[in-house]
Amino acid sequence: MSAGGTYELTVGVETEVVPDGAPGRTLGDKLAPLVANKLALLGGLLTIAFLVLGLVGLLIVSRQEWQHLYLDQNVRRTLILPFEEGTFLGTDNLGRSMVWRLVAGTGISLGAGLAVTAISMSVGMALGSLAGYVGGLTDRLISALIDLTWGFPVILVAVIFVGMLEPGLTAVILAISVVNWAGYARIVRAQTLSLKGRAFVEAARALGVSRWKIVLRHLIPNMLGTTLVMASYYIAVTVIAEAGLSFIGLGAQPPTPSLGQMVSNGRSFLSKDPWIVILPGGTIALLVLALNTLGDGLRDIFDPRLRRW
Amino acid sequence: MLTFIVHRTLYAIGLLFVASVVIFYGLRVAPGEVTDVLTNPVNRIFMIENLREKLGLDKPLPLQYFIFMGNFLRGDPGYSLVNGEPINELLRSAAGYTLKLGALSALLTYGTAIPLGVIAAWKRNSFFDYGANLLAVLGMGIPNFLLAILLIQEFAVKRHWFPVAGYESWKHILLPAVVLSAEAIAINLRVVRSSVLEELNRDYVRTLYAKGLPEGKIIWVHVLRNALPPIIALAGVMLRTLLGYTLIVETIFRWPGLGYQLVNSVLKRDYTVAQTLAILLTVAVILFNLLADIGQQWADPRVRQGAKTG
Amino acid sequence: MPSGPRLGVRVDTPLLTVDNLTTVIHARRRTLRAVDRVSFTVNRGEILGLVGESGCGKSMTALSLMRLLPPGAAVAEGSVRFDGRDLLRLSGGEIRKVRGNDVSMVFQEPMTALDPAFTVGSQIAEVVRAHTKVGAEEARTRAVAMLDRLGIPNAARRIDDYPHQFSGGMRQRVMLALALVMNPKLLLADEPTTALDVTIQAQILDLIADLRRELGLSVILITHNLGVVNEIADRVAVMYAGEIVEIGTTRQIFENPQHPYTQGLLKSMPYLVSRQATLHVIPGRVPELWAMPAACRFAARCSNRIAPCVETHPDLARIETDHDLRCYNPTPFVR
Repeated sequence: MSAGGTYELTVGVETEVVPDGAPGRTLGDKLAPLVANKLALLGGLLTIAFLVLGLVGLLIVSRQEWQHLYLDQNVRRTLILPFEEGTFLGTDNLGRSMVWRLVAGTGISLGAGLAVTAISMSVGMALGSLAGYVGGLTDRLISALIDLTWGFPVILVAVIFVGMLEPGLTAVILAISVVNWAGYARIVRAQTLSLKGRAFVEAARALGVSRWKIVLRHLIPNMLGTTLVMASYYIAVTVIAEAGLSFIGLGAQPPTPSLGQMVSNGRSFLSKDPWIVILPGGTIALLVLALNTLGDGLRDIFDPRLRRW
Repeated sequence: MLTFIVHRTLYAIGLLFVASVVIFYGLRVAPGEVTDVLTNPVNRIFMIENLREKLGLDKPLPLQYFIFMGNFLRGDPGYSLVNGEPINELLRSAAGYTLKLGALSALLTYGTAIPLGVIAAWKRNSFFDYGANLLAVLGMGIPNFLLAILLIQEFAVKRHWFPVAGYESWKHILLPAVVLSAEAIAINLRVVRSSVLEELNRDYVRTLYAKGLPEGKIIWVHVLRNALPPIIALAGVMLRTLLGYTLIVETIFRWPGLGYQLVNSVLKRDYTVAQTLAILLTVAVILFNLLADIGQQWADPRVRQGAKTG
Repeated sequence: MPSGPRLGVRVDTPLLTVDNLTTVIHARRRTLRAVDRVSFTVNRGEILGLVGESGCGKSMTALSLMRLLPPGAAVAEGSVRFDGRDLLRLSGGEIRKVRGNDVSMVFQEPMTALDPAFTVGSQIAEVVRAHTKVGAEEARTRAVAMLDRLGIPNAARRIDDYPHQFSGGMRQRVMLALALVMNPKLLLADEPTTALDVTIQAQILDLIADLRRELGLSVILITHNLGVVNEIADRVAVMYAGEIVEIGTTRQIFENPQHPYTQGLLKSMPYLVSRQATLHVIPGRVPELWAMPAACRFAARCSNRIAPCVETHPDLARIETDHDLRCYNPTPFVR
């Protein structure tokens, strides 16, 4: 995973030595796709579990009457260990419920990730298909725009956006979207170009159907796999970038809870009460791992050419 | 090759123009005035009047942009709005710190990833290979800020081997450099391994063995040389990513480099400093891309000599 | 026709004696025999043609001699005596000193068999420096001399070119230069002309024949093309499904082939033997390695099949001087 959030299209695939008709592959290599798919399945299940948690989190963050769950402080019940004194995951240094804060933080992270995905993909789809379909000057302008933003360091852009707006989720979401739409737009553009030239499009045109309609009708199902793959990467990139920025105080601002903020907040208690860092830190790591594993598995299934490195 | 370089360079300059306009306007129209953070009222009036004149802040924005870029390109980006110090001095010292950190991280990255990746591919499916793979998974799985605080906790707070943060001695640079390179090591290790593995299957490797060359020379000279293009291609991406991470890592370790200063100036709304640093780092990113493009072309003798691929 | 070289090089003990060589491939559960109890000799200054369809084990045989088998394949038994030593028993360091120095190999694909990232000169000089203590200058001089000898025009200048700057035929000459720069005793040439144009093929074959004459080089020429063999080989071994089915002098094989498979190969060649209008095709397919019949491996495709052919495995037996055959029911060759 990388907050750089860049995607490379390469054809290279690891191959083993296979001499003339001789099966030189070892058992491990043969099992690789199977293992990868089992892992992807696990990643997928974990992701779904996180999504459910995140939904609950977003719900309690958005409703004032439920915010007390993660905001209520209690100076008499600070730093309780998980499973003690009737708590589930203990409390933090201000006596706030760790489990609700984790749920809310997961909600914020995944919400930001989904927002980034939605923005990046709608902009990428619109501009990418436009560039591929219209061609000419439009294509060159959009391609230049893609080159301009593609592969810019997410963190740098986010910090600049924070400077332009103010510290908070909006700046982070916009910044990550600004970098990531280009990756999607590239693929949409290439797909549109290849669809435009296919025979069935010409045939449909001869029958009087609008070419644009035909291309769109084929583009969207063709992009389905890629979209799923990239969505899982986008969300992973966002989760990690948001957490990093929150950690240095540029992401979600209190009282909005965020996983990165929780890690930052727990730092001073790390030596005596490490779990208040381990819980949010572990949640981030597990969430990102689940998303990346799912993404890699989906990539192997849908589009092996789409590799991140 | 030459036309390629010229073409890419012109393109980079175009990108830079667009990026600098966006940064300049974006930071300038941001809500919140710099005056908010000036504390001493006497100082404040004097400084603001003084700076407004000096920086031409009373002129219309487009003109300000050209004044600023003119000064920037001449190497005199002006003064900090917060403490009135010349930005140049800040830049000079911050760039030195960032370069030091970056150089050590790059050294650490390639010095670790290349040998480990090559050996993992060479002895594939061995325990070494599995160990390297585990390292890669860990390096890619742990967010850098989390790694930072874990390392600080273990080696600074508990064992006192290294200081928690700061910049006074060589001991201060080690932990940030490790944190900065962790993910890069993991990613490069994988790329080196798969690239070397791909090369090991090529026909020429069999020829090299048939020539009676020592295996070490085959692997470390011929195979590694041919495996370089994807690694170089990645170097551009890697440098950009590292540059982004310096913002977080420098801030955590209070390492006074460009990233730390940028985050600081953004938080203080010191926009003359912020825009200078932001544009400077953007220049760096675009430069890395340019160098990576050129480096990748150069790495392939078939392309370098402008011949058709045979 | 006497055995041994046509050109009167002195014949004494064989340079290479391959005895009972068996190479196996470890597949999932089974062990497949890609080369099955192959025995032959190569005399000094002699060219032995090793002929067969692709997949018959001829390349695997050559790679076994050089100990260059890909992962998963290994020599299971047999010996390869070369110049008094068993190559299969040498240590890793010892076999390395043999490769490129005493025994060299050139491959089929001149396009991909050279390292694309280094100049041809450095790739040749590297062989010299791997096997001798000479300096860079001397190694380079030898590389130029060798390229020149192999008919590369402007050798002194072209030595700094990269492989992609050479044509296919020139690249194969570079490959030969690389193989011969240490003046080896034995050259294994694996389909050296298959990837080349017909005219270039003839040039390369002439070159190999010349080198044999001048350097006293022994050659194992591996090919599926009988025409190539007929042109320059002294003796021919025909391989089928991992075993040698017939071996003899070139004249014996071409004028008096006894094995139905050899006969079929000859009949399927245009120009060389038959003047028929239609090309002969051997019916059926080579049995797969994992479904190898216990009896004669060619029986299923053979028109001379008799009862024993499908019951027991025939042995290689001498039928005349220098001529061995693995067949229960040989018949005279009819063109």
